[in-house]
Amino acid sequence: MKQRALGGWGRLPTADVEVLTPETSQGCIQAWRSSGSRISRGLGRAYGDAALPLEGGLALATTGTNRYLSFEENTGELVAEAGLSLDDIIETFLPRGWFPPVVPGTKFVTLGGAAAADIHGKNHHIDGTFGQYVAWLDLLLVSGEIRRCSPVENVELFKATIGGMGLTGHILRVSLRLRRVESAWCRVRYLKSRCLSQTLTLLSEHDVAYRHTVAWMDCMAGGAGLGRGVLMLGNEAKLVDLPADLAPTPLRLPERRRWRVPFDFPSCALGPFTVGLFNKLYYGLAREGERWVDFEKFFFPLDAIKDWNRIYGRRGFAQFQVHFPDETAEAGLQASLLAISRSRQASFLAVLKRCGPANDFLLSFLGPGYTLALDLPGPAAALEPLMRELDGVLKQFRGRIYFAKDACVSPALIPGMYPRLAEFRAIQRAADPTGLIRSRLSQRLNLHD
Amino acid sequence: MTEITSPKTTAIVGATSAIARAFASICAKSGENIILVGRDIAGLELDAADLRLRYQVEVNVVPYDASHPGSGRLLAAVLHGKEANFVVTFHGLMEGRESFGQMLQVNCNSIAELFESYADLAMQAGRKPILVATSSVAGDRGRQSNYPYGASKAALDTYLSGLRNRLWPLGIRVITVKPGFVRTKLTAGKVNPTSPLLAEPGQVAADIRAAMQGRGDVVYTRWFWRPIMFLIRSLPECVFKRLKL
Repeated sequence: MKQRALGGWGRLPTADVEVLTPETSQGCIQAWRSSGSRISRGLGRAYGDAALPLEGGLALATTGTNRYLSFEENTGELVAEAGLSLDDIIETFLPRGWFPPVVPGTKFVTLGGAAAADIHGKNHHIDGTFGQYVAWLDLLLVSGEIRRCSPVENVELFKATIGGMGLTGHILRVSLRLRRVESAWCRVRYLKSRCLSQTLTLLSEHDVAYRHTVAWMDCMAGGAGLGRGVLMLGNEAKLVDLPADLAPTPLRLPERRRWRVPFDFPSCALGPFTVGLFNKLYYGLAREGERWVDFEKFFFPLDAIKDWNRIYGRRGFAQFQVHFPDETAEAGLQASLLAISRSRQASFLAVLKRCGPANDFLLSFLGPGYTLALDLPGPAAALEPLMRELDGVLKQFRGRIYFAKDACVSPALIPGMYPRLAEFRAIQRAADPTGLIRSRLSQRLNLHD
Repeated sequence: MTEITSPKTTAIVGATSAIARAFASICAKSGENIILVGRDIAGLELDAADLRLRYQVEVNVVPYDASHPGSGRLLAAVLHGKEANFVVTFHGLMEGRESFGQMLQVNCNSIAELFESYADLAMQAGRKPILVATSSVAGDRGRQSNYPYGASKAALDTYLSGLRNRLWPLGIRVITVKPGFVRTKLTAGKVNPTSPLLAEPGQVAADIRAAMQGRGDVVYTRWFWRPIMFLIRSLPECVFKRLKL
């Protein structure tokens, strides 16, 4: 079935694409036999072109294969088809006291997608990435073979597949270790910072005491206020800590009104003025102190607004997520924020996070240091000068971009950013010798060769 | 108004279809025990495991092949043994002109056998189940592109109408569901995916559920097919025969 103007979450770029959504693994296996170029696709939350096939290629969607297969009460080990969403897992298992070990900023991602992008969340500095909790996965190779990959079985393939952006094969099934939680609530401390270096200091100071940390930054504020923000530091509540009104139903999320963006906003709706105003208000109105915040609101604030990507209008938007190592973090972030605020490319949501140790997956994104993520309104042509300027910043300060977000980085920078790319390429080539698995992302950045 | 109180048991025949899967979720979510009936036992076992884990209800799988004459009666006995409160069929066969006989068997005769026997068994046991069959708007008028299929569904409609008439005094409800275009394997590649007439399987399943809780006898889903099919049925044959439908 041809789908018109399919894109990533940022809708930049888009293309008319053949999408197949089989309802069974058997159906996936059949569709995978086709002779053309293909890439797997989940819920389409990658911002750029990671789940877009090449011209004339196929997007094999996993969303029809979303069954639970088994769950081990003693260990929390869940086995499910790759199209199962974290949203679904939370709805089913949070009331029973289980939660995904790592969640990104949206719960509308699939297990397969989360593994392929090796996603991270607010707890990266403590718990690492999603892939570290994958007990095993079943990978459908181009040859039609199914390989079980895990830290002890087909290890090389496993290390290339977690974070491998779907380029080694189609993930059919995932076994994930869920984590026990006593409640659906976090005790959250809010702190305001006046400038970038204070934001960084505060984040690193509170690393140990808080499992979940993140800072929202006002990247429209220039001058001395550059990088000022609001820190959110949270710990999951133990049963004994819950206040009396929450204690009787600790695992129940409060009912919440859901909003939805019903149409594409006109492109002028988000200009430097409106966004600057929003940011000023957000910063100005933020109150320091401690509050009870439920998981939904704490982990997935934007999920309350369905289709929020439409506020950027038809022009779409790119997301820029960069990681800088500790040594260069402050200078790199400063240079990035300066370039962005100078360009007047408005962004509401600049999110900064301090990261923990790197893992052993070949294309995994994070390591010690900081990561910054923000939206940049399209169209692509308007972003071009800024992106090229940012390329320079990335190069100078050893910044690395996140494949799940990217739509416009310069391909020449990739081998420097990902030192294990050569290893990845070798495994990719062995798994896909005729080069049938390709996304626009992989082609654009030459992730294979 | 039929009160649906848990735990009841719902038998879903032809349970691998997209609509049936969505319907099974709705039923299990409200706490009903589920019997999945169909040919693909391995596939149904996967769905059963999924439903058990998700909704913590009892789920059984029963093998059944609607293309064998007589199998409907056997299935009726099995479902009677499990005291299904609701029997809902989703299976259907859409083939070309050469397969009219098979379509009559799968789309009409199998359901007639099942419902007829099931109603008799339930009656003897003093139970009052609800029997629901998925027909199609295609049964409302024969079109050159699809009339053998339409005719098999028309036969089903007439059969259900009579059965409803017979069982009404006994308090056994019979519901005819007439979906239009639904986004399923059946319509993939045949109907424009952006057509406003194309319904999602979940919407159709919800409509069926609502009909069971309400009072309707013949349910069009989505609702707009009722006026559309009224118009199509109203066209005089001398006009209709000239159309390319």
